[in-house]
Amino acid sequence: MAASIDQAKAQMQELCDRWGGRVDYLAIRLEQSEGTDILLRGGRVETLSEAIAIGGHVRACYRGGWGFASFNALESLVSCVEAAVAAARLVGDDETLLAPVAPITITRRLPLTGKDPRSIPLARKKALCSHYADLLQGVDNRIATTSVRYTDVAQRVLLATAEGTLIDQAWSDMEMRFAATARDGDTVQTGRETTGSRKAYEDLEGLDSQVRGAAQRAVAALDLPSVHGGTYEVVIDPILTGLFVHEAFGHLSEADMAYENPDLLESMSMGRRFGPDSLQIFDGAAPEGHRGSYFYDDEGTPATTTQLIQDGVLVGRLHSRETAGKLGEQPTGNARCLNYHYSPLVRMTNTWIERGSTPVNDLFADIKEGVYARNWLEGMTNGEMFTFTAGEAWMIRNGQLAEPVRDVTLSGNVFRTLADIAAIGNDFYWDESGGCGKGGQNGLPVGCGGPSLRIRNVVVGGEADDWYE
Amino acid sequence: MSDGSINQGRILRNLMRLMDVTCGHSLYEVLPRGVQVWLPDQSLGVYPDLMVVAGEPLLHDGKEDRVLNPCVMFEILANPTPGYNPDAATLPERGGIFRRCRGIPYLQAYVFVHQTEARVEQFYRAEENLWGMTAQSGLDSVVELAITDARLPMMDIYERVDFSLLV
Repeated sequence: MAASIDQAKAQMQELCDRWGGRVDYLAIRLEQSEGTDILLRGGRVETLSEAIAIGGHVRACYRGGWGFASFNALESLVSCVEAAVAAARLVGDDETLLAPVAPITITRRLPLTGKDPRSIPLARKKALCSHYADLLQGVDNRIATTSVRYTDVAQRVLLATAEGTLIDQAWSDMEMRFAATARDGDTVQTGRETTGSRKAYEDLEGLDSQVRGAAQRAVAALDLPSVHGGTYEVVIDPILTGLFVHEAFGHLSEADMAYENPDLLESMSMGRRFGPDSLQIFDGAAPEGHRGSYFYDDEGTPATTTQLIQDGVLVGRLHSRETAGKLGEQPTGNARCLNYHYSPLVRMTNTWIERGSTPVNDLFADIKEGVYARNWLEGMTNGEMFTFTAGEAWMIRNGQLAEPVRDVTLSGNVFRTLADIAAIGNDFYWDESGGCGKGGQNGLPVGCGGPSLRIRNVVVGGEADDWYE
Repeated sequence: MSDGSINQGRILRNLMRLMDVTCGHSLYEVLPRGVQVWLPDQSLGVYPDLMVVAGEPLLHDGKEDRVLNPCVMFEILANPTPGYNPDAATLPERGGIFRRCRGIPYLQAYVFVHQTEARVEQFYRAEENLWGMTAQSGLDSVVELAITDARLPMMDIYERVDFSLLV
């Protein structure tokens, strides 16, 4: 297969040369992937598969109109180019506005620091899953069910454009998700852990205490009191900070969302103050070693690091070539597609809030009654509104950690919440568990990072009111 | 949820017709109220007003009244409820069956259809444990389901529904 994808390189370039003159933009993206998917539920194997796939897509733009065709057999490449060009010419009736990027011919491989998952036999991966499932189940006899999911994929992507770009890049990505549900009568509680890596299979081994922790939290929560709902000053850990910056703020920085929504574009005006002077927010695929790291995006734009918030003020947003062209800004290398079935969208890569200067212990100081929340179980978002359920939580009383509580949901409006950041911790953690969803392209690897934060005026919900029961 | 009112029956009939026309002949199967969704984690079952299954229904322990794999569930809200308010401090809490069902790994969308006004709220799985929400109101809008490619005109969802009737 490697030979066939290599042979296709010359054909891709030849087709771009031949058809490029009929449209304003023509790109052929060819992808070869090898992946593993294992799901154990209740310790039993529900999915166990290895798959190899090859496929690609063609994107053409003519007078602002896009044509798209995908294929899973190289023999279809020529007809797909014809179809995409014809479709673009059919719908284009305006002006093509794509920010320019310099053409480049290059081969890059995202470096592994340990074992390539493709070198590990399926049986060993399955045994690792069974080991973790046993750990989860063995924590307590009130564990009702467990699930362990393992996925890996090694992708090699060729991108050729009529502008003369030919990029050959490859990476491996791995992820494991763990969940344990504990039940005692009608009380049901869940604990989760997730991890991922683009560096080494070994990153998924030796996670015993982390995995066991998920089941221990589920069991412990059975006997905890629900938090008393209200508005509190809260301290959140770096994982919740990462979730917040990605889900609540990051998606609003994606220029396609803003471009299609004039109200959002106005809300996200450059120069608007969102948070305190000490707040710095970034996104970028350029920092190496994280789930959202790569060299070039799926339009051939080099990876960058984009500062979104500087000293509390909005200074940047994330772009594809089209959104950058339409808004008159620089492309940022954020056009990504999940796989060859899809067209690239503006997506986050690694998104983080920079480390602050407040010692973590000082974040709790002077809080008479507040909530400390760590990790997360589930969340909901709608535009600028969010609700996240904490993985575990404690009350803060008189500046000290007090009793643990459960059913802690943190809700709010992202703009108000950013403005309510009272202090930024001097710790930092990269959460490599992220699988981002947008436009039906779910599970795209991303990294999220940040320090602990102290935030005022957070609406904390306790046990949900069941309006409809 | 189900209150047996005539409006509730009309909405259910309209949804069944719309969903069956738009996706009932593809790989999806539309099942009306009365079929139980089984939640093995909680050892209990729930009865959505309407559900869609992708592919063949998976049955818990082979029992024919315990479906495990709905990908879309509809719930028709019987009573006037606080709707989504973009100016509110928080998202509306949707508890009850939805809260219980969020752990179904196959579930991609949960749709609340209000009965006392033309309003539909769709919660869709954006990530494994993260749900996005869209809300439509007014008879001129269209609900685009996050899965099945179904587009449901509000005018058709609420065909012959009389909002002046008391619930």
